[in-house]
Amino acid sequence: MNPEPSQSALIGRQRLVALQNFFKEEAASWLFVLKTLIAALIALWLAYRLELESPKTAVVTVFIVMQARTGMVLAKGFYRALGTIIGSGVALLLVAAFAQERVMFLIGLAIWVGMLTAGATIYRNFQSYAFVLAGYTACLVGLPAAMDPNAAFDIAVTRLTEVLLGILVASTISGLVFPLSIRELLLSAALKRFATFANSSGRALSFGVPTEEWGSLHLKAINEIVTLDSYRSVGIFDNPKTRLQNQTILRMSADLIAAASTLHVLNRHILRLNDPSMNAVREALDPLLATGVRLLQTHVPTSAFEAQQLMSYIGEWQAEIQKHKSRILAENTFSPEQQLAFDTALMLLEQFIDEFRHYGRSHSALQDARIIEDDDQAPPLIQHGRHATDFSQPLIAGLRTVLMLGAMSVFWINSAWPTGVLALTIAVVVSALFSTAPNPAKMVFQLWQGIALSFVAAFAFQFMVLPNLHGFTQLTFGLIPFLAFAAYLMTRPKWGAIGVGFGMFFSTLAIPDNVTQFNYAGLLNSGIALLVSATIAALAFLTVMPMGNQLSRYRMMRALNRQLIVACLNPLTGLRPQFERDSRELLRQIAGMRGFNTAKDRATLTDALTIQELGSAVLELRTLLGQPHSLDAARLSSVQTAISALARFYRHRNQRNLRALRQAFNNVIPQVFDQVFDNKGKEPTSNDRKIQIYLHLIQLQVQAIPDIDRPAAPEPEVSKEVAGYAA
Amino acid sequence: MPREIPLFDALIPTLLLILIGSALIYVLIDQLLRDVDWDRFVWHPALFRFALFVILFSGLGLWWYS
Repeated sequence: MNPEPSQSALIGRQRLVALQNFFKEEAASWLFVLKTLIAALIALWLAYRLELESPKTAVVTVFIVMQARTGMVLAKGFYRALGTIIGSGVALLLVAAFAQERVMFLIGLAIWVGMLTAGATIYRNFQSYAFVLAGYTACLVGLPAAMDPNAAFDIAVTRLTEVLLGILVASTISGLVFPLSIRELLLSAALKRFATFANSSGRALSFGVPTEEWGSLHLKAINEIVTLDSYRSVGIFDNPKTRLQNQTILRMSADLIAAASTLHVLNRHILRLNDPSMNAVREALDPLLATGVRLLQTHVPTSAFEAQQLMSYIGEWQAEIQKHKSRILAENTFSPEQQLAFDTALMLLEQFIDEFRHYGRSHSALQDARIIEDDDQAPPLIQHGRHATDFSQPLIAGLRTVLMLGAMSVFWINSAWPTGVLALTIAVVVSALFSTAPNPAKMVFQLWQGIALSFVAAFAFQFMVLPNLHGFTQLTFGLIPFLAFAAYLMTRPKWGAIGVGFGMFFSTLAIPDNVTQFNYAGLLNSGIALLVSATIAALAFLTVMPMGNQLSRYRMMRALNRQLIVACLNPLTGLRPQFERDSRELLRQIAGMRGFNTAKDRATLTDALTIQELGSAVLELRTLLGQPHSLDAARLSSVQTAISALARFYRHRNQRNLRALRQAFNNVIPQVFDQVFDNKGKEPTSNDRKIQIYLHLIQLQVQAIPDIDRPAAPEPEVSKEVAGYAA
Repeated sequence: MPREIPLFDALIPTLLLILIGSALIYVLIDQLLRDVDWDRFVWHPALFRFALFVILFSGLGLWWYS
């Protein structure tokens, strides 16, 4: 027997592990700092050597592009180059068209920037970033060029050269100096998702997870899938192995979403079984569930191997269920209602295990860098990196930028502000950059802090450090502490925006041009312009249709409702993955809105979960209706009527439609029951039973929809859930 | 050797053409090497690639200007 380790030894070991983790983390941070410094200084040196107009732009670019993983740097660099090229082209076009007409020029610029800011909210990941850049580069190049139209072409070319130099250097350094592939990050994120999924399925199967908690689990899962997808999109720029994995990851996400949506329906059903009238069903199910619950709750996979092991146990469990289910069915005598509940649970359980095994298989294929050959399913539809949203979202983002640009232009023209160009440019940059962030005002505030810090630091640098430096080597040593500080801040997620702001604007303010000028008044003017523009951008985010305003909430909720209508009425081909993907994406955006946590929002979340469940069930039902079954024409049409009543209710949610919906399902259920009981002598074909089960699931959900005209009673959701059967 | 070449009456630095040419050759070689799964034999694939490109580009450039 081992002696119990003493308390102090345990604490000591814990401290050691914590210390190790700390150093591991710190080492990664300092590696990043080192890479950023090398890249920034090489870019600066090259820019001086090539005698570019403003070498600082190259350094600023390095700070913007630099990230921990090589693939991310390449991706961001690629899209940044793309955006810069397009933006410069448009700027030249605008200057050529409206060189003398500043109002027309500014209007044209505002329209361009507004359009691209709107575009940025439609696309995701780095594609969105390219939109942002094409928008604000037009500002960055166009405004100085419009001041001096004769030099416009030179300004554009210089700007392009400097940015491309920065991108080139940053990509090369990040690829050559201790390159970090996105692959491990991807694999560990995939494993974590798998482990969490296994764990929450264990909990769902044992007694069901209450709706409210399930909502937050659901959101976490959606966000993790989005993160995985962003890694995937970066992987295209990573090494060739990750490139080949693209299809496997898409496949895994699709399998995961399929399993998750079945689990979602199953969880709600198991919650209903907690009702006392369903005790017999619960007891009959327990022996079937017990093995799985034990497996999923005790085996938390921490490696790809353990995940595979868990899947093989799950396979055994599936065989066990196959073996025992007919015996359990024979042993128990249920009332018809209980029988239906039992069959529902069993069918969902079997479907879930099947899909879970698919997911496990594609997950281990990803971990082992294999490619799944047998494509029995169409690959999922994630195309063009676009995501579902309501058109109000891009419209609001675009309008906000246009308004801000307009207001600042009016102020600039009327006050003849000398640094107005800089202020206008930076305001556009800031508002475009953060227009896709979930909480832009907070990010802008962080950036503001970064600017303020960099303002002070730039003063110190120009007053005290720069006059004593001679030559590039000494300049390097003068810059290192400041740049290292910025790079280190960038590694802390909490202060990321401060770090970026400091790095960008310290470089802008402090790094001397090829001909060093000591212009303190100019520095003061620029610094004030930066602070003012960031303040105005923050104000625009806070006041002009702030994130999570009533209108966007309403529109997004409507878009989510429309998903269900689509699920009810559109042609079935490819509809299921599309529904699962789009409804999740919309829910993610709704939940990402600022201040999403009030009681009303929780009702929204419950509503969204209901839509998810109803949509999955309706899609299954419609698929089943397309397969051979023995429903006659009259019954079939009554089922169709019920489905269209569902769509009608989600188009106009009022009490009349709700009553019609309930009526439709109350009519259809006994009819289909009749048919099954008519056939009682023969074994009902399993499709008939399944149709009945899905109708039953939808009906339970429909009954749980709260009445509309009554002000929503503060009834706890859980009791309503259980009341599905009690009612 | 001419330092600049007129292309549709615009003077293009010859070095730019050499850059494009060596990039094409590099892509070709990279494709061929990928078929033999070369990165099993290389410690730092990215560095190897980078060096390959630098050798190609500077080799061609020196050859052209010598």
